[in-house]
Amino acid sequence: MGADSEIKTVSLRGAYAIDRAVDLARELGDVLAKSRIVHIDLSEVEELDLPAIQVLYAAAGSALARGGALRFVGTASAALCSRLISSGFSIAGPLSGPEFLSRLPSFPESRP
Amino acid sequence: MNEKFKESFREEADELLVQLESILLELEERPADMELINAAFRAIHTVKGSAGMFGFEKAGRFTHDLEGLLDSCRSGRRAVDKNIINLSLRARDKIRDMLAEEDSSGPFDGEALALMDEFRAAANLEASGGLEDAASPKPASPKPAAPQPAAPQPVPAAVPTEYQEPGAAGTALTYRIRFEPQSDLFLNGTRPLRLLDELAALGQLSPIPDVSRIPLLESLDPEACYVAWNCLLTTAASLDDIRDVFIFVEGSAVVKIERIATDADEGEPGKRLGEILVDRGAVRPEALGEALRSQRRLGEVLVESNVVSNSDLESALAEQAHLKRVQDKQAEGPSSSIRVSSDKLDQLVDLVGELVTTQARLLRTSTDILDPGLSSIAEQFDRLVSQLRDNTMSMRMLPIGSTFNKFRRVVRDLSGELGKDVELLAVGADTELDKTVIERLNDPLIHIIRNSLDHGIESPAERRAAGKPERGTIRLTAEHSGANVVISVSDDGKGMDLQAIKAKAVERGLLGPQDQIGDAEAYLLVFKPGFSTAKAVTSVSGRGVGMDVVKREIDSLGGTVSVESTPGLGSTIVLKIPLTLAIIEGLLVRVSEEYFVLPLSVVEACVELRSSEQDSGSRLIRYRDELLPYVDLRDFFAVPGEAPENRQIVVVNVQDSSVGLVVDSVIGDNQTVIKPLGRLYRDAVGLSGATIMGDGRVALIVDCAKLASSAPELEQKARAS
Repeated sequence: MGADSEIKTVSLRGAYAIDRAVDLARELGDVLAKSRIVHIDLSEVEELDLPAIQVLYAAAGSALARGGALRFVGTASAALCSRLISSGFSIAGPLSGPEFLSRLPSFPESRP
Repeated sequence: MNEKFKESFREEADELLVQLESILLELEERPADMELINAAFRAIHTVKGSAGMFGFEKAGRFTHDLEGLLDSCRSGRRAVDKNIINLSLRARDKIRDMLAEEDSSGPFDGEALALMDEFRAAANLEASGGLEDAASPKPASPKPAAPQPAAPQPVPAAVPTEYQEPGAAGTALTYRIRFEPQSDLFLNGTRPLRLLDELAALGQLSPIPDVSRIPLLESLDPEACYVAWNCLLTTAASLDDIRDVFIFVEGSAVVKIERIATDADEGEPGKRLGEILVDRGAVRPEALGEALRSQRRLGEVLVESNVVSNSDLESALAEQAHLKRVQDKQAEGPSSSIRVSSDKLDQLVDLVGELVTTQARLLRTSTDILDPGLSSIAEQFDRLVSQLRDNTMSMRMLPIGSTFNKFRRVVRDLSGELGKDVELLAVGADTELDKTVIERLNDPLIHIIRNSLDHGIESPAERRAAGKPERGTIRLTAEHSGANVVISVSDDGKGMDLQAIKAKAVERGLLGPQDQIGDAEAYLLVFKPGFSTAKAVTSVSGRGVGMDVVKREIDSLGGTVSVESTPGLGSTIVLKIPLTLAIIEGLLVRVSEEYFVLPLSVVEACVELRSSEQDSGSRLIRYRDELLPYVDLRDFFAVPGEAPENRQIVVVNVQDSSVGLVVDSVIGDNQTVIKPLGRLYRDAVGLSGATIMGDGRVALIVDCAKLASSAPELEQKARAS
């Protein structure tokens, strides 16, 4: 584990379907090994399919277990949010990162 | 079998076949999309099942074979390729023909037999190059780290019988749905979020994801499914429709569907959280009683004492909120729809047309009699008839998207025939206009699109050489503009060759060698009968037949056509069409003893024509500081009789230019029920129809576009004389 205070931002880009889930999990695993706080920038995400959502939940759980946190920054676009409404993972967007997080049911997060 | 049911099935099957065509065209673009393969299979599966049930045995047997082909794609035995799409589209057309046949028990014709042979041959073919890189999912392989829910069950048949059908006349019912995928669900190509999208399309959905099984990242298998859902769905769709959403995950997910009683069913106020939790089996009534004795919030108490999990509580709270929303919506009043045959709708419009005419007579008679009681009734009747007319006309309004979808197939088939790669983009498919107008627009639009494909869009090699993408684009857009709809068809092809058009027009005698015309007018030459600049006659166009038909049809719809083109960049043909053809708001005017109606949508103003201006002979008046050309209806239609000293000019705006129409007097607005002119008057210039007035006399409806286009010519003649 690197410096605890270090915040690392991971910028996601494009559509995340199952074909990118393994790479995403590996990338977040690497970042979590070095940084306590991880910021996920959603600004350029077009789509998050269920495998990617699960990876984000799992990574947030791991961050929390290590005393850190996974947070969202940037703006989740209206298109991204609208694709997640039917599955209960979002409401109509665009949403700021914290708003997006607050709409993810039971998302692992540290209480302030 | 009752003919009414058969007809109803035909209509539904037709919708499914339209849907199937659209799905197949999308599948051609994304052949590996399992959701599309499943959707195509479901559509054909439904047609097959219902065809047999309604006595269309031949179509049922034929569809069964097509279903076999699609099933081989769905199960991964066969990849989706061009051949499958072509075959399926041809089969879809054949099914439509079979369903239209009067006798559905006869033998298969040669085409059907050949197609069925092709289905079987294609279904038995193993896909070359493996299925993973084509349309088929990867074979499932269990992941040890992922959770395994209870053994999968088919969508339960054990749902109580009373829940088998939706409520009478499409009443919405509420269902509680537990969707618990197995861990290997992703590996057979299923995307659960898409299933939930389909579920949401059935009605009001409240999905609550259960994420409690997602492990920490270190233990996560990124390709395994861990999430389950508890959903509340309020829908008028049947239980079978809900089950159909999950039809392809029967072996890889637990799906439990149960109907729940809403408060509206029971006539009770909103359900309490405790009742919902007990109802869902999340808490025992005794434990609930104990928790209720505490003065704190029930949910907190139950979670803290580990009686219910957080997830159960979230689900129950969401259910409570959902039921409240449904109750509120039901309190607002039911909203449902019924299917009515278009013939009945046409009859209704005809009857409303007669009613409008009769109402005009009543109003006139009451004015003549001068009876205050009768006048009051006539005025109230007038208001009611106006509302009835507006409501009836709105019933005939349909989105133009249904027509747009047909053109995707035209573009696909034709671009294949011409060796071109062309994409059709449709914008404004929700734009509504009268169903009769939509039907009559079909052929003109097909002609325009075919022309764009044949003459506008270049071959891939030509496009490459011109630095353009190989794939050409035809863009179809529709939007409202006042009482009209503007439809434009634009392509990114080579544009129109203005010099070639003019040269051809001179060669065909449509234009004198010395004639000077503007670009906009020159482009319209392509709509003249017999005009064609194609060097070779193809099966698509080049016979000079088609574009003149477009112009004639648009004229008969009371619309206008204009063309814009840029060499090397493409062309745009713009059609401006009135929203409806049945009843319009008109302005009634009189010339001598004759009455005319001008569509109110084009009327800009009414001004007095001073005798000094009439005498100048220029056929121009000063209007809002500009010179306005005018056409005298008395001269144009050769109406006999002396013109009065004081006359009126009605200023109309057609195709962005204003023209004055001189009349003796303006009577006022008029609800005009349009009647077609008889065959003898079909070619009468300047008239688009007729209407019957309140006193039984006929008024002629003026084709303002035609009169406006002749104004400059009349002005020139007047100057010359």
